[in-house]
Amino acid sequence: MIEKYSQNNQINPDNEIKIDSNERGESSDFLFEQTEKIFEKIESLENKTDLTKEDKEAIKTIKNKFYKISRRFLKITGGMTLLGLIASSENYYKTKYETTAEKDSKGNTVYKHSDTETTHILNYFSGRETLTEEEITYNIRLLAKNSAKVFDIELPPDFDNFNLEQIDSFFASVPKTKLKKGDMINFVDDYVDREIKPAEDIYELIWQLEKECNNPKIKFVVNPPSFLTDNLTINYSSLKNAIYIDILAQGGGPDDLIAELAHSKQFRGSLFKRIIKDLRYTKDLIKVFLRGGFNTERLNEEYSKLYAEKGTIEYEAHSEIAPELKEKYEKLTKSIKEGKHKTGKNEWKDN
Amino acid sequence: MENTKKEIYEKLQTSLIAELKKFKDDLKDIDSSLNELEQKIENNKKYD
Repeated sequence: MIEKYSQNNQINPDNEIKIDSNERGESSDFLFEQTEKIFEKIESLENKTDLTKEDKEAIKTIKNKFYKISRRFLKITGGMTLLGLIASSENYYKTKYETTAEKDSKGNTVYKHSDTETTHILNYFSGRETLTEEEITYNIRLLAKNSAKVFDIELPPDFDNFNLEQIDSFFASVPKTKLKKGDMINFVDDYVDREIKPAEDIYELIWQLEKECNNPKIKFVVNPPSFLTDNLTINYSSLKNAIYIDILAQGGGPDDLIAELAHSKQFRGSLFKRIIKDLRYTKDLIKVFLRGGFNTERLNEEYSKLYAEKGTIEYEAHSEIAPELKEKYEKLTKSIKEGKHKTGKNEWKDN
Repeated sequence: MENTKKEIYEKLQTSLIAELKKFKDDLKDIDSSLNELEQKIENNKKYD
C-alpha cells in the first residue's frame, strides 16, 4: 500500500486527517451517492409532464447551483493538490538517496546506503545482520503501549524501563478476557524467533533491488503512518521516498519489502514524472473519496478496490512492477534451495 | 523551513476538510430544495 493522501503529497505525513465519529456515522451517502441521487432527482423532475414555467425555472436554478458548487469544490481541491505538490517538490531533491559498494580487506563487497538505519534493515533482510535486542525491546514496548490503550490495560509507571522478560510477565498477568487470542504474549515469542536465512546471493539481490528502485530510505516502525486504516504493516511515502515497515508484523519478510519497493521504482525519474504520478494518485484518491465519503470503513473498502483497477497507481505497483521484482527474487531463492547457487555464509570471508 | 512547510500542510489539511464539509452541506441543501420542489409540484397537481 502506498502511504495515502497525507503521506503521498499534499498533506503532512505526520498529521493524519482525523474524521470525527459523527461524520462517519451519517456519511454513507455522502458525495458519490449523494451527487448521483441529486442527478437522478433533477432528471426525474425535468421529465415530469405538466410542469409550470415557474417549476421549470426553479429546477433550472437548482441545477445551476448544483453545477456551481461542484465546479467550486473540484477547483478548490485541485488547487490545494497543486499547492501541496509544489510545497513537496523540494523533498524530491532532499530524498534522492545513494547506495555505495566497497570492497573490504577480504575482498567482500559491502553495500552502504546514505542512511545508516536503511543499511542495517537491508542487511537484516538479506540475512547479514540481526535485529539488536535494543530495537526489539523498544518496538515491543511501543506495541505493548498500543495494545494497552486498545484493551484498556493500565501500565505500571516504570513500564518504559521494562525489558522483554518483564513485558512478557506483565502481560501474562493480565486477565485473559482482556486480550484477544494470539495477542502480545505469543507475539513476543514469534517475533523474537523470526529469522531470515543468510545467503550471499540474497545480499546481492536485495541491494540490487534497492538500487533499481530509487534507493528509498527504509524505516522500522510500529504501526506505519496511514490516513485511512490503522492496521497497515508496510507503507511507502513518495513525499519522503521512504518505506515504513512494521517491525513486529508477522510475515513482514522480504516479500513485503519487495512489494513496497515497487512503489519506489514507480516514482523514480524526473521531478516532472513524480508530479505526474502524484497527480495520478490524487485522482485515485478523489475517486476513493467520492465513492467512500466520510465513512472510514467504506473509504478503506474503496481504497482496496484500487489494487484491482487497471490504471491506478496501486494496480501499476502491485500488479505490474512488483511481480517482475518478485520473479527475480523467487528465481534466485529457488536456485539457492536447489543448490545451483552459492549459498552465502560459505562464500562470505569472515575477518 | 520545516516548520513553515508543516504550517502549509496543516493549513491545506484543515482547508481540505472544511471544503469537504462545506460541499457536503451544500449537497444537503440542494437535496432539501429538490424535495421541497417535488412536494410543491405534487401538491399543485392534487389541487388541479
